[in-house]
Amino acid sequence: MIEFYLNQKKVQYDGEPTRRLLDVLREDFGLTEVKEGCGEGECGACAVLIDGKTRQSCITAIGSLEGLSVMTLEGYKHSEQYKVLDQSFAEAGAVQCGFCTPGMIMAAQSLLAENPEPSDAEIRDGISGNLCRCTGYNMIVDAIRMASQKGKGLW
Amino acid sequence: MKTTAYYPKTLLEALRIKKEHPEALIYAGGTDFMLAKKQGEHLIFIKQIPELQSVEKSEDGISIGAACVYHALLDDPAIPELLKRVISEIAAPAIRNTATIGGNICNASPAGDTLPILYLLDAQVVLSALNGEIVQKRILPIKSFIQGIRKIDLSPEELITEIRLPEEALKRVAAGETAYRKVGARKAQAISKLLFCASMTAKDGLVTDFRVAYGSVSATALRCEDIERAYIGRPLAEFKNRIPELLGAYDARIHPIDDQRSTAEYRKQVCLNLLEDFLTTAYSRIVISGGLLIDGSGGTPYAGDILTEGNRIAQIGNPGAFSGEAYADAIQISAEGLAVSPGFIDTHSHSDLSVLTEPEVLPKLMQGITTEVLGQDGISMAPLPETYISDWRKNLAGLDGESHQINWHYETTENYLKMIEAARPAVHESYLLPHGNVRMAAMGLDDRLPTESELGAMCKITERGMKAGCLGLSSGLIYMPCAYSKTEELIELCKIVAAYDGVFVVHQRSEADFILPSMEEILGIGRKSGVAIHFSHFKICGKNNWKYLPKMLEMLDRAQKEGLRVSFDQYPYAAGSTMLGVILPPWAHDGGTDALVARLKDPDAREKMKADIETGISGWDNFVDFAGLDGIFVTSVNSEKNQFAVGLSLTELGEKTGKSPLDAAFDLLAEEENAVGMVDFYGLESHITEILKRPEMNACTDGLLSGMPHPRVYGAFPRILGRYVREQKVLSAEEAIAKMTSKAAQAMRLEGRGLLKPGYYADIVVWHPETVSDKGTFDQPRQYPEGIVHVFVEGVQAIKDGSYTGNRNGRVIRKK
Repeated sequence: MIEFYLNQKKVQYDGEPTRRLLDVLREDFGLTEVKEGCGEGECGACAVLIDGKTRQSCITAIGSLEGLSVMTLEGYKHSEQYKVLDQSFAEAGAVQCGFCTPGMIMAAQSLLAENPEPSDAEIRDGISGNLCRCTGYNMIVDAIRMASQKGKGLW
Repeated sequence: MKTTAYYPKTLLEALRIKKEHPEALIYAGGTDFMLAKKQGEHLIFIKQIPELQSVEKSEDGISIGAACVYHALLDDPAIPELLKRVISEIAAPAIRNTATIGGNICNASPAGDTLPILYLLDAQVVLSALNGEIVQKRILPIKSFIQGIRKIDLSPEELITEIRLPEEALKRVAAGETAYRKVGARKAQAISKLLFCASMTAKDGLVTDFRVAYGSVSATALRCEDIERAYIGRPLAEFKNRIPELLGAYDARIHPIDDQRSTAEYRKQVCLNLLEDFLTTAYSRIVISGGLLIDGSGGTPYAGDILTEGNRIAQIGNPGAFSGEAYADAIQISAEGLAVSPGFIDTHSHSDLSVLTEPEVLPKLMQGITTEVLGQDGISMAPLPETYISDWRKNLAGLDGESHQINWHYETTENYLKMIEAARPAVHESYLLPHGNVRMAAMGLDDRLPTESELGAMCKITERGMKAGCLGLSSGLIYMPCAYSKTEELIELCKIVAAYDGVFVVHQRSEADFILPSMEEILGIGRKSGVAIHFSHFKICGKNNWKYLPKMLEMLDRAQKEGLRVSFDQYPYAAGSTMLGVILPPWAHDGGTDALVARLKDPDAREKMKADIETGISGWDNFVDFAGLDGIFVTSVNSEKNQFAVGLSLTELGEKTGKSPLDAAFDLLAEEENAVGMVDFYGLESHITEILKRPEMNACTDGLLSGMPHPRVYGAFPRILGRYVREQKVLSAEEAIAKMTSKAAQAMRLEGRGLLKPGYYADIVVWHPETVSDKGTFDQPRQYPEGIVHVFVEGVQAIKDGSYTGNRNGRVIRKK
């Protein structure tokens, strides 16, 4: 059995340690903001924050989380930072079908936590592991830049 | 079958479990493990083991824990830059936050991103197992450890625990030129079509080290040490001659395959092309022979030849020293009958915006300028808070121009410098932190003194700017919002600049009626903060004030005696160029451009401006008073409809529009939202020469590039050599060159530039002493000078026979 933090609550897991974190989150904990896209670590739809950093939950074994802290969009939604990102994504038109959005938000949070004033090139690198098939990325880049400006001091 | 998971806390514990269950699977980052869907009875998680997470540097080299995550290595100062570059191009952040370097090695994929660089650096892999209770280590070169596709020499009881990079290889690679290229279908998340990594070091004309490694073109990474050995130790000239032979040798060893990512043919051709490009450009040598060396030191010119190697000057020898077989690879440049000098350094430049859109910076490069100092007069590009972008663009337009082509949302100095880098300028660019931007970021654009906390914020921003690599702080005490500051504010900021050994570069509060107290203020700042002072475009304006010049020079002498560090720059013309807005009294600018435009449209405010211009305000430089309405010319406007005004004096502008000259000027400023450039005639020729001769003096262009520019933008440096050296003999050529090179480098604390000297950067100008001259006039300023024959920027020829070659090899110089 392992213990880890999920959206800031201590939880336990007592099953097969090689199960994908993605499946455990969706099936055992009902956290369906985490999406499955490619299932092989390339598209970022399943991104979550592990100890604050963006990671792909489809290629993370649940057993590897012992003692670590996992945040999904369901938990992140209550933060001040999320409010700024939420507003910026809406304002910049960065959401169309929305499937990639939870992962994009995770990648954006991870980037801004490390680099609160990223350049455009750094923003593009920050979301380079997240595919979006609708917007063409420019609006997402705009949204993250906007969030970095609006959310001064938050990150 | 349920898997039993183990979480050992120490390496010893992990090895015990492995001894007990040799078939146990190992999970580090898991990125390959999960894709392979591995299943087993026992599973050992190892990422939490501290011994496997550390990076240690010793005299033997660098040891990297096998479970170090890529992201952590990017942040680690011990990791060499070339390895960081490789890591930064792996996958994307989420994978770099997860995957480990040991995992990449054990996965032994032909396309493993870190493998070629590890082969290149002679990496060793440390394998640990328990023998009784003792940890036994096996150390293998990586090329022996990896035996084939997904085949490694790891016994069941062993764990890979460390990757060692031996000091000898690190030193050799760090000393030379390197190349790395990952070729994939796209930048992120790509499994490479091929990987190329190479390094070469040469010293005294001999190749002392040479390494090449490829990935994705054979079962394991490919490095051919026998080929390398056959070429190390050969003279550079011979080495370069044998490039076709070398390519043939690699051609015979590279055996790629066709697969879903690429074809064998493509892979091989790109491998050879990348190698050829690297071998041709690395340590390219240039011999400049037959010239008269005026080396920047101020010493007597002498006949000599220069050899450059890579981006540095390798040797200086007697005429003919670098001829014959041993230098057959070098590009030969004849400087017969010509003078050879260090690249010129322009300590007061305004290419800040234009370098992003026109990175050739031809007006400067064509003069022989190889280094510019941007960020002048306290108002420039960065830092630029989001809220002020629109206001600031207007405020900046008169000095640096305006552009819709760039992304103005860069905010920080660091980001701005990165944008310059991305534009790949033809000359080197360095930056002064502009006081006005600092003030705006901390307290906005209002006409008031900072509160204590605002001053604290300004100090923090200054510190951040110095850390970003600024050479110092600049201010322009006639420009908004710098003019709203008092001496105390500047002293506080300059204390920080002094702590970083930076320089305070200042357009002082008055260059006219109040120049003496103004100079006193600046010298006082130097005295109280300990900062080195550099006056920008030192001069005296207005005939009523010409009498002050002797006193000004006396003050400089006194400062020198007192031990203050004081220097200044000068452009050799009796007219200046700036923004037309400076003719207005300071209060008119309070609150920024929009407030200014409102005042210009308000009849009462206009009358008050006219009255102030008529009678003057104590402490304010009244341009209309000292240059006269006939002596101020409009040089640039933004809008189409006002283009007619360009080239007119204010008097002529009045006649043309049927208004009084001041009304015409006010209307123009209002319509153009303050973005109007001007030239003003203020001085005497004898002042120029007197100031030129001062020991503190170095040359500058003060080059405002937008609109109809001042001729100095295109000709200031050649003008000194033609007019003041050859024709008027005010200075010797060696004195003048020192003022364009080493003195400027000293004033700005630029290292490795300003002299022709072995080890210095190969920034070099070859010029014609008999013909060198400026061509631009106030009517037709955009004319390149004559007599600047060749210009080299860090060993790359940017100007050849007076024409631009298209080579842009400038860099952003950051203060360390």
